[in-house]
Amino acid sequence: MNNKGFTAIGAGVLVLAALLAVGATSIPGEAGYAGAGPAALPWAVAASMALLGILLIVTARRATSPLVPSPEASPHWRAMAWVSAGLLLNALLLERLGFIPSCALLFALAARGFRLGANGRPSLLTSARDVGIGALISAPVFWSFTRQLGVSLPSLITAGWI
Amino acid sequence: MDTLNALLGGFATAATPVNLMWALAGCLVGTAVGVLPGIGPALAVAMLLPLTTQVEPTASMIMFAGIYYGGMYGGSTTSILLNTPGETASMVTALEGNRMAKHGRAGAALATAAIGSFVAGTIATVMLTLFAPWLAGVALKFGPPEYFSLMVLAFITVSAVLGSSVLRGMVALCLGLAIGLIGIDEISGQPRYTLGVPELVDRIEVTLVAVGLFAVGEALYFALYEGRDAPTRNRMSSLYMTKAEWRRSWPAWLRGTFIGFPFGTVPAGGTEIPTFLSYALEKKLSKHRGEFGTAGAIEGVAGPEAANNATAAGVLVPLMTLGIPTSTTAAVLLSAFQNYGITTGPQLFQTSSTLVWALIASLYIGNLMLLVLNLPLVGLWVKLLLIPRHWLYAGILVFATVGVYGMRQSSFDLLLLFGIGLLGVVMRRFDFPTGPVIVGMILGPMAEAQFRNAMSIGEGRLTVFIERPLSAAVLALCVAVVALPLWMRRRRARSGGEEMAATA
Repeated sequence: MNNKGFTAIGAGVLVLAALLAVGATSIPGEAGYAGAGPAALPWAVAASMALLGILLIVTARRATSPLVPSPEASPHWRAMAWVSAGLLLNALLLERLGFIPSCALLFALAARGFRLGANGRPSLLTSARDVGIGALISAPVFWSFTRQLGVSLPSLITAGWI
Repeated sequence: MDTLNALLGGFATAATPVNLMWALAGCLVGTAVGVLPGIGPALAVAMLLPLTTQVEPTASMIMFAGIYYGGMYGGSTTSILLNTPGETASMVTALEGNRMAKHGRAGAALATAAIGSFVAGTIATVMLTLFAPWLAGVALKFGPPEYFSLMVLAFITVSAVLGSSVLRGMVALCLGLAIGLIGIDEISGQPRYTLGVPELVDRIEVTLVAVGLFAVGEALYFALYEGRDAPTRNRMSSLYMTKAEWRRSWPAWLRGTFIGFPFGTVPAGGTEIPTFLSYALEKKLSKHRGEFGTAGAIEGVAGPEAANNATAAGVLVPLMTLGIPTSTTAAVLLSAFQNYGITTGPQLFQTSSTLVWALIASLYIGNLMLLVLNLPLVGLWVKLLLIPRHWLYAGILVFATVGVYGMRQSSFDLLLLFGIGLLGVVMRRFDFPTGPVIVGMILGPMAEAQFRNAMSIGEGRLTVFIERPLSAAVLALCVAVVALPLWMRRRRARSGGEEMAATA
């Protein structure tokens, strides 16, 4: 059983197909004389996904060797956790802290994760410096997008410079 | 003659100082993202899509075109100098380019790649100029059944031909189609799969999915698996090409161009097939076959690199004349047109002729700019490879935030972005192609509309798709594209089995 991952993905695709089918039942609208209404494509996609899910599971169970080579290195979950934390915190804090502080935090947390992933041992000082670099990168981006291009991004103070 | 006049008009628009600045900005960004590992032109255009709400269409399309062409130039620099294959488009260039670089001829490889890109890009743009208006004229006669069939062909080729597995490509395509279903149905106005979330009623933005899969997914995958292997770099050398190298390069450029352009124009998407074909052809024709795979043969860089750029130009033909994207970048470009409410298709040459011709003219200008940017200034771009990767990827995530948040000002989108990033990691780990997701989500709703219109014409009969000769022919081609490789594999397996039996 080298292909547990593919079996799991196949199962996931089947679940998705079921969800799509459930959703399709609640799409109102008449097919009319065209014979194809708003629910036609959802049903078609749900059916194809069900078929593909089954095929994925069958291929995975039949294969005697791994379908795709696994990466040489073992996964570095701690590194990914730091990067994920950066992204999620950014999503939650962006509108409260404003663009520059929130993105500086994202930059530092993500950089910490990437350093860990490269087997580095980032100290607290390194991360503090990364916050500064993150701010140096975010600030010009923020100003050029909000001031010159007129794209609105959240800011900490109403004047809109930070 | 009309074409020439229109093109001259295009040059007049594209050569204004402001538009030249946009073209230069695009070429700079494009070369940079091409050089930087982990990001490409599709991602760069996707991240800059928020600009479409502020900048006028001609300017931003000129910039996006610069990014598109620039990415192709920059990609070859990385694949020659770094010992890790960069984008798929330059994988073949890396085969010989790397060998040459290891033997101290990095400069010659870079020069033949840049000049070849220019030659191919320019010739292919000329072909685009001549061919696109003609095809647009033909396409005016197409009805919904023809469009639907062509879109099915694009779906099939993008998902089945490109990846390593038809099954995985199809799964990716269906995923894209499913994402494309979310939101208000354009024909009936019915909400689908919105779960009452306002962000979902408005549809999921292409930017979000592209940035999630390409930037966030790539970054998370890098943290998880790739941080520990440091890429090794090859030394630069003089860009000077000897007379013999010129003599060996130029036929390869021309052959590459004429292989690449047609592959771009048919909905067969992607640059893998033409670049590999060009590589195989050069290897076969070369008088220096011994250098292939050993010291590095210059033809093996010149041909595929020209094919690569010619394909990129060819892809613009179906995009502009039929509104059908056949590569990921083309799909993102199409969504830029959609943001402006511009319908790409045969009418484009009539309704937005100023824009189209300015865009085409800017391709000529961009090519020239890129040659200057990439040949004498290549040393500057190489410096980009010195950025530590933990900062590079962290910076990419910051830009991803700008691109996604700037589009709709919604924190919900940032959470969704992370979710799609996780999906990207799984897809990358299990070798599911990501391109079909993007093409599926953009082309899906368009194909659905054409299907339902065609069914209305056919009064509910599916036979409408086979009663019209062109539509029937395209559908037959779809079947052939799926069935032929399977049949050939089976035949090969059988003959292989017989050989085994004979030797046993």
